[in-house]
Amino acid sequence: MNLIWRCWSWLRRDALARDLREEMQLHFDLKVQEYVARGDSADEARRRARLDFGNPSLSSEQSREQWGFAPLEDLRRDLAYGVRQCVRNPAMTAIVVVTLALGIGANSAVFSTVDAFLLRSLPVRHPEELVRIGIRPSGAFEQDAYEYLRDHQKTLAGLIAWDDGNIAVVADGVPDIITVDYLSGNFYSLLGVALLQGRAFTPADDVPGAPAVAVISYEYWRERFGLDPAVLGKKVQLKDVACTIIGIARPGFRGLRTGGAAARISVPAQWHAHLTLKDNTTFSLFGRLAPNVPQKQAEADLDLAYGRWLVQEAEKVIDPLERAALLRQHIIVAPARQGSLEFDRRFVIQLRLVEVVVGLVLLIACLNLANLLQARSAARGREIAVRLALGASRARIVRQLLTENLLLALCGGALGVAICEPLMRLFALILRGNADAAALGIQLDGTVLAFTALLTVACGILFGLVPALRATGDRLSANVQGHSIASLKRLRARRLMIVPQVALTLSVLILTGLLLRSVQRLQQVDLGFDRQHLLCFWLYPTLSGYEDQRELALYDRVLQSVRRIPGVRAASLTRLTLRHHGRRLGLALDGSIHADAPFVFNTAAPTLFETLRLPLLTGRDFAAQDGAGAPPVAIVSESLARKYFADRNPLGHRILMINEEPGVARTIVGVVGDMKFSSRDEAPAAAVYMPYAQAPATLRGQAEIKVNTVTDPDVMIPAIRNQVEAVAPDLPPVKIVPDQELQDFESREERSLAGLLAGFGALAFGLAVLGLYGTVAYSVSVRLRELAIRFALGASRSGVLWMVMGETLRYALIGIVLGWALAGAASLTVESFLFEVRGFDLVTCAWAIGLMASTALLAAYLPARHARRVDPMTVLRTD
Amino acid sequence: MESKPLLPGTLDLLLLKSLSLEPMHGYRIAQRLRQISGDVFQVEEGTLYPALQKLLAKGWVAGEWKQTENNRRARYYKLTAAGRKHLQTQRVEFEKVLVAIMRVMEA
Repeated sequence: MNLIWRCWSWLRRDALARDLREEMQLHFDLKVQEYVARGDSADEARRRARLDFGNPSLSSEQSREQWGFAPLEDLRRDLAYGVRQCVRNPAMTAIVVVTLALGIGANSAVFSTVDAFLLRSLPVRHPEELVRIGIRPSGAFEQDAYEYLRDHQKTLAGLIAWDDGNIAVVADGVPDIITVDYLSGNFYSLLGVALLQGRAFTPADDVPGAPAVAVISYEYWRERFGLDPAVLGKKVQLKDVACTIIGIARPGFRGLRTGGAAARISVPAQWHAHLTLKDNTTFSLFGRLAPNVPQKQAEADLDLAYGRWLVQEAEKVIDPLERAALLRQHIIVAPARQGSLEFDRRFVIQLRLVEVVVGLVLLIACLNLANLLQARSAARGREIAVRLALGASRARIVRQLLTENLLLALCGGALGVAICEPLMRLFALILRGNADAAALGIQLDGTVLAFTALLTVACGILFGLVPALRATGDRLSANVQGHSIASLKRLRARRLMIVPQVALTLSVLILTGLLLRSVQRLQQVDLGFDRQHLLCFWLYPTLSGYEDQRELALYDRVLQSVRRIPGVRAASLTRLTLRHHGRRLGLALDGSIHADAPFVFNTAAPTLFETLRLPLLTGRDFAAQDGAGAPPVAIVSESLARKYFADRNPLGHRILMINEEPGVARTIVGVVGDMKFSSRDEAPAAAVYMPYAQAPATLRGQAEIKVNTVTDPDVMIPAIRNQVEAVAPDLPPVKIVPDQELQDFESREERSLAGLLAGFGALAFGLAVLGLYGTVAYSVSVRLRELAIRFALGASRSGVLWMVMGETLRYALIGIVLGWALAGAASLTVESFLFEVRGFDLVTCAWAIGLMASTALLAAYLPARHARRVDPMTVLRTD
Repeated sequence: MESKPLLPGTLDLLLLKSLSLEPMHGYRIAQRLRQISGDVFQVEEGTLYPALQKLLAKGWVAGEWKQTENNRRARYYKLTAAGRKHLQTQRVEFEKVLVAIMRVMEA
């Protein structure tokens, strides 16, 4: 009934309005006649009729509410009015929309990252039941430990083994290195994950002797096979294993990873030992708790089973230290709703910090916009006062102003969504070194859109409601007369808002400065070797099927051909990258055991030290004769030699790595200069090197080639790549980088965080400057008359200038002090990123404060200059 | 005598009651209201029209354009069946409330 009336009246609303007008006109005319008949004059009759009748426009306005869809109709008109207002003032609209778009877009992009990394659960059935099984104090699960636990545990619905590794895949004759997941056969069924096409592994696929099968990721299907529907049944060649593709995973499925890119291919875990690098033999274990089993109970049960297994294993171990270490191990079970987190605590700190800063920047932006809009609605004060006088209700006008501001907010939000995607990619690149945000799970999904919508409306209300209420709340008379008591109140509110703006800007500036100084310090660290002329690249012969003697022969061929290139001074290889953080423990020297002696254990080809320009202090370098069958030899670093031999000559003494090579005593044939293995090392590390050809199998399979060039290393890269490809055409393309890049990689996190903070800092800085400028300008315009009187009474020009600036600058000063304190507190959270720099680093703080203060002074001075030029006579006469 | 503002919600009732006697146009309704209430209620006459539009929307009254005695076009409002029913129930309600109020005041 009502709806029918509304539709009908909406269609006929013009006719209805005409009828109403005619009706009211008749009423009024009859009223006038009545008074005339009583003896009033025509004018008097009209006046009294008008008084009796009341406000006709209000009456017809209220009548109209019964027709059509009045609230919608109002909204439409408010919007149309709002659009006109926006178009009439394009500069202001642009400022508001762009500021909001940046703020909202950045917040949404950061939120999408937070959502992907910290909030979202794995897309599996009942992720809250998932647990991760680990070992304390340290340790990892070998295949047989997994199998024992799987067969003896009683508290889990199932136990999953998972590991990933790189492998060279030859497709269409082009070798490429991709990531492979090794999954136990129950992986898909236990997680309750459906495939896009084909079938998943079953435990039957994961027993020795079963045919080789593979599940490929949707992304791999798209990139490599062009979404070819006939891909099921095709084969992919992994080393010497031809795996039949039996299934395709759903788009975006990343296995158990949160915050990491998906593996291209998954194969059953039984292929792990055959396909991965020799030193990679362990699995991560995940389980699903059986119904009604608490986590603690599962932990106790698994620990019991694991303890029995350890006792069995310990009997096989001869070394007493190693046996004791084994028996110290215990199982820990932790919730794993998010699966495996492919990022560390430092990243979480980074993300949280960015989240807080970006949120605060948006808040500041909203406060600034509120100021801006308040200035505008103040300018419209007269219009609003007239409308109030004509009978518009306050709620109606607040709704009108709010609609306008929400319209602005919506435009900003829409533009924010548009720039969210590129920003997400930018943040992913800065924070994770990977611009492919979608591959990391960062996406513009419903959750992010809902967040953005909420944020937009919140912003619209935040910066729209206060000015709207203020604009309509003032006394009518004050607005019509242009009085300024309300303006002075507003001035104080604006000045107060300077404080948080300056404080936030300064603290972000200081944090950025600290990080940049830290990066600078890191880059200046002397590692002890020549890295100006050094190029590096990795070879993974094992992944392409080169084993044993063929692997060694390949290295020799590559090194020889590279050394022949004109411009190459020397070339060699090591097993561990020079920035390897791993430390080994346990040395025996001439039979005396130093069980907890730390050292770095590495392998080297001949001429490594020449390549690194590390001085050989005494003895000889490794040479071709130090082959697999030759007597075992070693070269030690200067600091190791000094520590254990003091003034004695270490040459000819015997060194034994207890845990790495039990039973192999090496003769020391040389002592080499010290180097640092990481920029963050306080002192050079003790190191033991052995010839590559004599390395145990766990150190085989891959190597880092080092090339020292005569001139600029960058120009040599193509020539070296050509040589390597000519010698080993079946290897995947090598990635040759200057050593400086590896060094820079160490400060990547500091740099990315500094970069992001600098970006937001610049935004906050711009806003703060605008805010300062606007406030001083506003205070000058409000106090024009007062200033004129002061001048008329003989105040000096510069005195007034300082007075105008000083009041605002006082607040800026409070902001600076607060900002400094805030930065001191915030620097505690980034302390783990700082290298040789403390939170209250005076140089950084001085720079930041100087910059902030001088900018504040300038931002205040420019508008305050106008106060000097006030001409008392002109101002006082205009009122 | 001092004029009083209407009790909220009573304007509808008064309008329906007036129209239950005979169809009328707006000016007449205003006159009638003033007469029967003995000038107690102070009603800005313009506010009748939003109220009448509401009654139209509810379907309690119907409008019909006719000539007045002075040959001008006017909309005459008349009570519909639904309006009559509504008036009846409202009236009962109103009396209940009034009785209750009186009882409280006299207690």
